[in-house]
Amino acid sequence: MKNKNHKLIVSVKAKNKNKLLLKIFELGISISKINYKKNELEFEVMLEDYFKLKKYLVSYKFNIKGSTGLDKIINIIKTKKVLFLNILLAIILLFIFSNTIISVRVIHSKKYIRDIVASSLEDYGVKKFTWKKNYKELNQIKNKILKKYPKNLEWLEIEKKGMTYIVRVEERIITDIKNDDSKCNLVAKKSGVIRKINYTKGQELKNVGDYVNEGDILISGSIKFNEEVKNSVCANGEVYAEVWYSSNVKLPLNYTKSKTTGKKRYNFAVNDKKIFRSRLKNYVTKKKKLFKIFGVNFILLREYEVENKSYKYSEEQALVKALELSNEKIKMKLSEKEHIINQKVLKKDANNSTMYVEVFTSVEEIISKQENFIEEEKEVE
Amino acid sequence: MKIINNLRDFLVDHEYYIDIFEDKLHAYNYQKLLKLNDKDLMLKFEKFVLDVKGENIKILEMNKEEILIKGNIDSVRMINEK
Repeated sequence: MKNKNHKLIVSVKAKNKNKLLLKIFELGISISKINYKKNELEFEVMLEDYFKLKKYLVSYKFNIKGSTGLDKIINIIKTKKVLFLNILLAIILLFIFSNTIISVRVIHSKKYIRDIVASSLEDYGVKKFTWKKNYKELNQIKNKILKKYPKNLEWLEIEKKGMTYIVRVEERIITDIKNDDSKCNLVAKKSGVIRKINYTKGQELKNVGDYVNEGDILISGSIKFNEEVKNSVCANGEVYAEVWYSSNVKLPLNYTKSKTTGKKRYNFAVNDKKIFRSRLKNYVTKKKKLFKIFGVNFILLREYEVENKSYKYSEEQALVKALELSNEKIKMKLSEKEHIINQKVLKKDANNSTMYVEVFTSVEEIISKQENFIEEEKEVE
Repeated sequence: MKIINNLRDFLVDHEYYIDIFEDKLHAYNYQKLLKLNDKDLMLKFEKFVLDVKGENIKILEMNKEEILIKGNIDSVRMINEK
């Protein structure tokens, strides 16, 4: 209340309010917003005049109810200091958090791209625990990085997501034209009899039906005419040949098969620990998760009774099974374009419980691979 | 406020004025509040006395020069002091 011009809201008890108002007039005091209440009068008066009232009208009891204007605001702030400090702190924190970056994530599958972008961003001040940059600044940084790595980066985007910068990058892929200048032959990586030849570049040196050894040139990169090399290219294509494998299969003759009997029992489990003991001897269990509370899983178990029966393969059955197993084993090595041509049992041997079978398999597979060669320089006579 | 008042004094060169509204009365440049009760209010101006009669008369604002009153005003009479 240092400001003498500020107004106070004052209440005063008075039976004869008009008499009081006349007295106030006599003192030359200005009052406003006069409110007539029962046995009480409320009005606004300057601080200076309030002291005058207190001094001259001693028979009345004046009470300050509040203040107006700026002082009212200051008073509210003073009385609710903690609340206002908290609000202020919250605003400051909100401002800090909404303008601070706590992580920069560069999204790309290649590590070296991530590294060059991350280091460049750091150089330009885009790093964690720094202030956010505006759109214009980010755009400038983006262009600078793209200019810095024209051979590596095609496109870059910096996206603000909360307190994180998400940087998406696209790598620039420059086709190496020099590769087209390389010279190569198609050579055999396995021995076999050629069944099919598909090629787009080069000169065919072997024909369908030819037996080739490992390392033989199948399609040459040197294009010759009348024994003279006219051009050198990188031979391209696929040569399919019949190749042979022999595999050994060991098969137990006795085996057991499980069959459900139709009997079903319910059980419960808590984190994989059964609650009730199962009443079935042999059974298989199906689990169904019911719910989870504080990390504890409650599971419903359905137990189906099974009956195990023992069987024994006959010799014919065992041979069929052995061929199946050998077939599966070979097929695992083959691609979609390759296939098994034929299978034969070479040798079989059986004792009481096990059968040993040697299987011969002929397969059509791609035997060609590219191999670079250096062009021989012509001797000048 | 002083600037506005001075400007108004300069522009409106009146010794006094009285505005009467439906339930209010505003008087400017009065000299003294002579009488005040619920039914009667008397204001002294330089050359006359203004007598306001009615019911439930109350003062809303009051300072040395201006006064604003509210109430059911029945009559306003100017009494010359000659």
